[in-house]
Amino acid sequence: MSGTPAGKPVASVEATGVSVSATTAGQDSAAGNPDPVSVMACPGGPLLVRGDFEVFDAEGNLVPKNRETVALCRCGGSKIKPWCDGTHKLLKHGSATD
Amino acid sequence: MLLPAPRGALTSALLDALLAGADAAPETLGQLTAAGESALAAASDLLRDDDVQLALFCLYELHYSGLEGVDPAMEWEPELIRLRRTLEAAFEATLRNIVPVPAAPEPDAEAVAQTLFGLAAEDDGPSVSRFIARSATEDQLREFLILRSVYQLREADPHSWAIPRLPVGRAKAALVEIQADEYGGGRPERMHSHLFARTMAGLGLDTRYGYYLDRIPALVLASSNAMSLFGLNRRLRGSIAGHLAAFEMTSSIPNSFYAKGFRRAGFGPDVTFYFDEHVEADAVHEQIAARDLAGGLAEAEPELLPDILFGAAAVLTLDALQGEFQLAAWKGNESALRTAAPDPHPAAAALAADAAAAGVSP
Repeated sequence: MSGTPAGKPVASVEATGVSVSATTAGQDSAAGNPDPVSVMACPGGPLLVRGDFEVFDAEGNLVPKNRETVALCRCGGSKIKPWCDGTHKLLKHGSATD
Repeated sequence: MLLPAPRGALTSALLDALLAGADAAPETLGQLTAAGESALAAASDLLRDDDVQLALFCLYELHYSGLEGVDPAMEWEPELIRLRRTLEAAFEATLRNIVPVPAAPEPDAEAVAQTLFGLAAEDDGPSVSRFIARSATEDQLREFLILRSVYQLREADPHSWAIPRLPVGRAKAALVEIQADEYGGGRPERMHSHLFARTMAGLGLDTRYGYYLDRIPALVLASSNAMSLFGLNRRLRGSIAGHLAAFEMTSSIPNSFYAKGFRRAGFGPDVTFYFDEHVEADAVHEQIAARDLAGGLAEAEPELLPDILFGAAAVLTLDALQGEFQLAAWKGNESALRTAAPDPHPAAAALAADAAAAGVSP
């Protein structure tokens, strides 16, 4: 499980300490890779991450993911961090950063 | 689907015609629409009318898994389609009349997403999820699963009708992305409908589709019928997209409460996994559904925006009505289910007898 992210870091979340790294295959869209990583910062909500990527916690441990597209908590309030559980909708200001 | 018992003159005539199939007398089929019109004329509250909602539910079922003992060719019998359109027109008119639709923003994906999130956030309908979390008894948990099973045992199917009806582009890609996850991402054991069946089995419930149909109130059938209405009519593709968006937006937080309720009652991960999975999955899906599906569709076909909002608002209205009725029953220590039908359709009894004779447990 633990280890150093091999690919290029593409996003990190301060509230939960996780980072997202493109896998070797997912890092270079210019080289004709059909599945580059895309990160969408949902206003007031999570980071929506699609493509060929891995998620690591603050200690560099790989976080297993259960689905192709994931939503990463940005508000810090999720009970299933690093994933979003919709809690930002109950907070006055949603996620801190857009 | 297992055959339900009739709930009035219309469903009685309809079930007879369905079972007769190709052998049905032309005049029997020809009289169905008149029977539908009579039932509509007699209905004081269409959403709670057992005969009309069950008839519509059975007519839609022809397009899903079919009804046990009914010739699959009946799916496209013109007289059945005519009856369906008569009932649908009245049902849609009722929904358009009672569902408050918010003012439309600009047809811009982010503006549409924010309007939908705002709509869901303002929803202050009765909280079945909090009741489940805090106080539902084991029998009430079982009733909750039975009521949900009408949709959840075929979770995602009504929205799949929209796939070929959306234009190539962002909205269609988003819908397929969500549906792929709903259907387990290629892993049948992770299909949401399968996970729900596992939860039901964990409480000793029968997971065959339609097994509890006779106990399901009209209002719950109406919710399911609304999805089929939106999904099976191409002109309403905006409404099925909006429906899915609102459905996903009102899911992750309630599901965390449901999981809490079943854990409180002592059930383990085999039962709660369905709910836990939905907390995570629907927090993803709501973002995709709001921005890319509903928002993307509004950008591609701006004339659909009012229907997108109508479909979304319909979820909240129907959920609130159901929640109100369920909580009133449970708080009064009454069942939220219909009383079991005293007279099952003779054909259903015959099928059960055949099954018993063949050694299949009913």
